[in-house]
Amino acid sequence: MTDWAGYALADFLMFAPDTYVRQFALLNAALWPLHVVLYLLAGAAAWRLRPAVSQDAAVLWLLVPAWAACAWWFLHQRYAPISLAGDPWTGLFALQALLLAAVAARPALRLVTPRTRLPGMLLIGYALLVHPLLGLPAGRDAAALEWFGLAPDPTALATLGVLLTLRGLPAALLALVPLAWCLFSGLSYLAMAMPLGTLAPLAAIAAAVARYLLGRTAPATGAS
Amino acid sequence: MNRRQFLAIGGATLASLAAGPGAAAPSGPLRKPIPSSGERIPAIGMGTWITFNIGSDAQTRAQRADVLRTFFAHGGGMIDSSPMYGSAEAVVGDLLGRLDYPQGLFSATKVWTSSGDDGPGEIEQSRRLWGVERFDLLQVHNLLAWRPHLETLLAMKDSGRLRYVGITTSHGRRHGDLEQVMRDWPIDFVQATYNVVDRDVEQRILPLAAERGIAFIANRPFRRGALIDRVQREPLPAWAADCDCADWAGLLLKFIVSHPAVTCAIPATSRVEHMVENMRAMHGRQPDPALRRRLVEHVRSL
Repeated sequence: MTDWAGYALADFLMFAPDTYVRQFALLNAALWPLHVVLYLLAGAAAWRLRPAVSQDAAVLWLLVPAWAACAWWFLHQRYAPISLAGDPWTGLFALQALLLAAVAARPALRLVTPRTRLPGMLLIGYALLVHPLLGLPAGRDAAALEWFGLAPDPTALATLGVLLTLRGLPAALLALVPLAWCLFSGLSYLAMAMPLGTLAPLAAIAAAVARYLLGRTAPATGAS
Repeated sequence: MNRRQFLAIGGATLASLAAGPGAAAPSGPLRKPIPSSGERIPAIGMGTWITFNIGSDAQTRAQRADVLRTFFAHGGGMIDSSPMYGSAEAVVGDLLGRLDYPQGLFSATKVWTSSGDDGPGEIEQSRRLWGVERFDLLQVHNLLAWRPHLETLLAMKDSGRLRYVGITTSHGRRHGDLEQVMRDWPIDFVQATYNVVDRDVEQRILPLAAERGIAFIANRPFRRGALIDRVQREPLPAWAADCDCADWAGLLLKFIVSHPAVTCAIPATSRVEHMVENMRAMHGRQPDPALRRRLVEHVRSL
């Protein structure tokens, strides 16, 4: 049997930190200005989630292209060649896109904004605007920043934010892949000695805690 | 190590050790014999874990081509990789092609699959990625499914499709199983972790390699960079000059390859200047046993 105690976290890392960051530079250079389209979709989602608006699940359609783009352009084309975890994650991100589409396609599903709307909106704002820019003070080149819709971390965080703002969803099911990715990504960044990368799992955990603490006392109506 | 084991190692190694501090430096890079054939290979090879797993990025591949060119320009030979190393085999094959497969290449990779039946297909895929007609050395990676894979590799060697057969471990794991394979199977190479800090193999594996006439490849010579990062915070001791070392990399590598039973070490690097430092370890005097002990004590005290 393999003695796992003999390994350190860094021993599971297959690539150098420079190599990982470089994948985002290549991704951004190859796909610009697709970023603009994906941010417009994210902006549209945030607009639909504004206060006092009764929602239907169609807002989730706006996240589907982001998950599909992450799966294909980052995880399959950039990450899988340098990591054995690339192919499984490609499959899981594609599955997440399908799950979001499946839920979004249910016209009967009506949603209301619960007490967790505010932390949800804050998390969306963090994912879209703050998290990508955190690389700069850490010394990352502006061309290699991680943007929503193409990079997994901000995409997963923004999705968790959307899930927080709505009630009446199969939220636990839809949050599974984003949460798992954030934890995986945080461990990867720890192994790369890039501690800022742990902000994604910390934000994800905060979202889950907010959902648990605030969501359990929210009105039970909403889904029909 | 007893006298019989020591004599089994080969004349060239003994000669280089006999030189000792203060003796005239041997001419040319240090090449050590593979006991099963007598063929000599450069004592410093090149690992590809992490450093050559760079994907399809053209800019980074061009930089790694410079690293590889430097390796061969300084007398390098053995390149060690594995299907477990992501894109490393594809990158190595691409870059070797750009350099027109330099003379002296000693191609070494591994078979890494839990199914013995999948071994031949994986080996063929590796061969295509490298672009070589046949591998010089194939090793069972981390003893995974080692019985069926060893049968495959030995059959390949018998039919002339492979020159040498080996088996690997790392991080000091499964040395008992490794010993069993070394005793019971006609392998040419064994690979395990050995450096100035991780010295478990000195107890049983290295003496057994000498006794059985098995070449030894030392992996993780710098503990994936952590060891050299640690010692480089301290000044190089003055007595490093006794074995013609001007930097820590050379001193750490000379500690490894000066062991009589070690055939080569396989440091990995992504930088040309570090490759030059690594390859310098094949030149000049090698540390004698007293100097080796002094280095162990010194590193322990840091």
